[in-house]
Amino acid sequence: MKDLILGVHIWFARDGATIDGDVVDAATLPDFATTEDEWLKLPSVEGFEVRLNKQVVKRRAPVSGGGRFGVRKTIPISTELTYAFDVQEWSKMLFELLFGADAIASPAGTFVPGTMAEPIGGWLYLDAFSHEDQRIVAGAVRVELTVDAFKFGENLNAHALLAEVIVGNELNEHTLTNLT
Amino acid sequence: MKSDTNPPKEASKDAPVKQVARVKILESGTMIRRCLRAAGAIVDAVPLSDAEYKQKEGKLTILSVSDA
Repeated sequence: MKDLILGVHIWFARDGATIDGDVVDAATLPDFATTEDEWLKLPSVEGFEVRLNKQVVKRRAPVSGGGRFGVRKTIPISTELTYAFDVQEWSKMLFELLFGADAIASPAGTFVPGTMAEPIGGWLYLDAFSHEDQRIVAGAVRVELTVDAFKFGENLNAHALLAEVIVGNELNEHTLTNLT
Repeated sequence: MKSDTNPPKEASKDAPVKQVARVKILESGTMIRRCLRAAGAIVDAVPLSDAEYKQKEGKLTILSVSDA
């Protein structure tokens, strides 16, 4: 165990983008180690929270030797996992998310708010270091991005970057290091 | 008068023909070119030697082979 303050860096490989000749999609995850330069670097992260929300069915039955009902078994039926990032800068993609706009031409262009047909999907690569610069957790997960309000501790950020993890994707993987 | 233009060379009949495969991924996390692939994904234009090697390891199955 160790006292830990995580410094998090994040990148994004957007669906439809071509990385090293291959089109990114749910079944195609660019190898970050060899394609880092082709990933989109996301803004500096000031705060990072992981929110795990499990929905369960609780089976209740009379307790042994009595008539009162108690929980006999808990059956998980779904898992929602969200990474929330308190980010410091804004980019074209974050404005697309903020205004729900379809793709905005880079680096500047007109856009029509509310025209985004589908969420922005892709692969989020997360690289988190301790305050002693030791890598703690790194890896990629399949996500859909939104910009929405999120409370980091006592502080509400009205425009946090939220990454809803598509938990069923077989390529999701993080590696934990330097913790015992 | 000499011409500076050399006649076009005919392709050597002995030149190896590069072949590529269309494959179906069997094992999630299999690396093709510089991307990890999910099980069930179909990938085109995989160099045949690489496809055959990974097929022996049970990571994919070759669906078809064609010239590059």
